[in-house]
Amino acid sequence: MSRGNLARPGIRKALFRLTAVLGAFALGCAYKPLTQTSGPVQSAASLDSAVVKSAGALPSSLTPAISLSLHARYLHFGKPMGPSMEKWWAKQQTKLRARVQDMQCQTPWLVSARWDDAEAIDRLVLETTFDTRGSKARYWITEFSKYLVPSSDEGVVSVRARVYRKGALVREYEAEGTYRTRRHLIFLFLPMMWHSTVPGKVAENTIQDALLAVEHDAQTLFSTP
Amino acid sequence: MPRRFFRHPKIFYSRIGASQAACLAAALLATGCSAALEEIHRHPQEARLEETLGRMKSVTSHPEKHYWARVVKPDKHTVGLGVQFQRHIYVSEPLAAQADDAMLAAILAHGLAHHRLHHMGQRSGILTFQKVAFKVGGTFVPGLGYGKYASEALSEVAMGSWQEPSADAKTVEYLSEMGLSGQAWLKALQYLKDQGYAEQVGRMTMRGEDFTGRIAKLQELLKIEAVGSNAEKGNAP
Repeated sequence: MSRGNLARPGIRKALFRLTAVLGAFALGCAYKPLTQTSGPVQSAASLDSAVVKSAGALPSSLTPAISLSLHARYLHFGKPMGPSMEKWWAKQQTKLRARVQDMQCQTPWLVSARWDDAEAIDRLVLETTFDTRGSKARYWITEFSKYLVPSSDEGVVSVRARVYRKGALVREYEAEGTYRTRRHLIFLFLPMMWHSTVPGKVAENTIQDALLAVEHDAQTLFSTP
Repeated sequence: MPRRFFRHPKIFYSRIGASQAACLAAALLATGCSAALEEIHRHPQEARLEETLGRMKSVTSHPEKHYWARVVKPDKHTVGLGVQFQRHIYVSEPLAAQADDAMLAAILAHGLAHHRLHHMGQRSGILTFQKVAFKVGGTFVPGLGYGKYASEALSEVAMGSWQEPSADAKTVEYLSEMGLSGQAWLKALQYLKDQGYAEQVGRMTMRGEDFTGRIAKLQELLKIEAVGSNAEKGNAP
């Protein structure tokens, strides 16, 4: 390309736009959670124990063959994320499933559970919701300023465990985990501060909390014919 | 494009601003201000929605798929039924309370039909293609990139015109497989129209007069189906 061509405003503008698009893509990679807080376990059936113990756990031999399902959704300020994030959340969902499968091996009463068995009448359904809470306006300003203006918001992982016996919903449990996400251009250059595994860890802990809550009531839930 | 156009940045940017504003106005006129639906956490009607949806999923080709049926707060646009990404079906709080079982089944079946016919995927595919096309065009023709605002809205309107009748037909199919009459969806549509509820699919919101054409088409479809079933009964030994 000759110097004369570069001087043309159309080409200069095209190059500027290309740089801006590439720049925006690079800045987008700076989304990384930094801190983590865990929420208490709550139960829909007035199980008011915040600290759940596995005292009432059932041995694997006593539990009926249940079906285990895991469903995850990804919201952004309460709104389902669009298809632009589809590949990303499909990947996250696979990772999450692998984590729950690891947990299943360590939980005696879940070892014999079959995954996504549509014919099973006893089921445990885990609904996981990833959401963002905080100021939408500040988030927008940060996006608009290409991360020059910092902003922070709260990532929320809420898990709803639903127990179905003979096809009917008998009890629901909820667990919630939160983590903080900070956004600024400077984090792009500080990879040691990204802590990219935090959301995954929070999700794992939250699911574990929910499973512990179910385990707490497993004696009454599953032992009766 | 004359070189004079680029030499005067004021003219250049004023034209860009005007075209951007015009496109945004066209987008707003075509789709209306898209309302964000706000979920109500653990609403009492949610169990009813889940139960109805659970019964309905068995008649679909993929009963293992999970759908998120949730009750949403009534907003100023009064969206009655919302169909969103990641298999979300939203029903407005007053509508969930007012609807009887058959109507609620019809409303949920319609939401399910949109998802099973991959309408959200079709929309996003076409819109992404348009976005890229306008982006590329905008690098060569100043201001053309802003055309995406108008074209997105217009495409959504155009897509709605052929997606809705197919979703209506699928709704009737699901209802009949569940042992319910297709008239339930006709009644539900009429109810949505009379009560001023809107239907939101993606960013597109339909209300009032948008339902009139659909109701007429649905009546025709139900008539044809009734004639067909009568003929079958007549031919039966």
